[in-house]
Amino acid sequence: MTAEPAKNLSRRIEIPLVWDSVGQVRLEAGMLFSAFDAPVRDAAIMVASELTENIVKYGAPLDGEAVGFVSFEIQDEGFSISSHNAVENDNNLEAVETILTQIEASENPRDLSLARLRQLIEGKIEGPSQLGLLRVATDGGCAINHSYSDAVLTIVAERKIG
Amino acid sequence: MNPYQSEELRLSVQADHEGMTVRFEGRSDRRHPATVMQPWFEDLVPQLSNQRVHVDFRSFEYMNSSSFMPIFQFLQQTASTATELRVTYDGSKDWQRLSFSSLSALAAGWSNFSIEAQ
Repeated sequence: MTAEPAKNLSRRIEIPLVWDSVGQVRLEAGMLFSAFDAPVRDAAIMVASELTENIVKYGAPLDGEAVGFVSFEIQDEGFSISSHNAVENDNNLEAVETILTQIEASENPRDLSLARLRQLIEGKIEGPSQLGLLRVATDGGCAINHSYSDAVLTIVAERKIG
Repeated sequence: MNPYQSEELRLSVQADHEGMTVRFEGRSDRRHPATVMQPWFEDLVPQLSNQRVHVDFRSFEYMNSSSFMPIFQFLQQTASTATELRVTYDGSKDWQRLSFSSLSALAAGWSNFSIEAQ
């Protein structure tokens, strides 16, 4: 994987389904966003990192290969970072689609995040915490959209700049 | 008590005339951060009982979302037995400001708790 500091670029990175991919993506995102101020760069790195963690944790082989993908679209006025991966089982898909739908419909994702944290603290949630996706929306300042087609889950996180 | 030290993360505790200071340095980005943090916290929390405790996150560079719950639970346990729990973070780091605003909201009912950006 290679990256260069620039604005106005598109990049698609293959993500092997191993934990080391998360660190690799953090390095790549740091390079890709090095032309931006620290708040935007740090947010982008976090968003890319959390989306990649989701791929590695819940992704399944795609067309027989144990990989997913992360895509970057970077412009002066904003960026989008997308994850693409097959999903391991229907339960994981249902869980992630449930929280994504809630985030997409929420007028205040931070309230949703705090409610989720309280439920986790009280032991009311079994399975994945999904805090990473909430963090993309709250701390990352991103609008989230998702789709599921041909066994591939795509999550798009978009943020305007300025 | 010995610090926890790995390539990317250091957790340490120091006693001084003001009480106990617990420091988080480096980054927490493991897949299962609780597996390394919780054993250290379990040894530490009893020592913080009836103490004035300062938890210093200012040199914490990054944590993933999986780190939030073990850290929150550590703070919750500490608050339940310490005489005072004070958390400081670096307000110039956006991620810290945002993450610790969530912590502040969740800890609103802890009477011996304070949090401040420095």
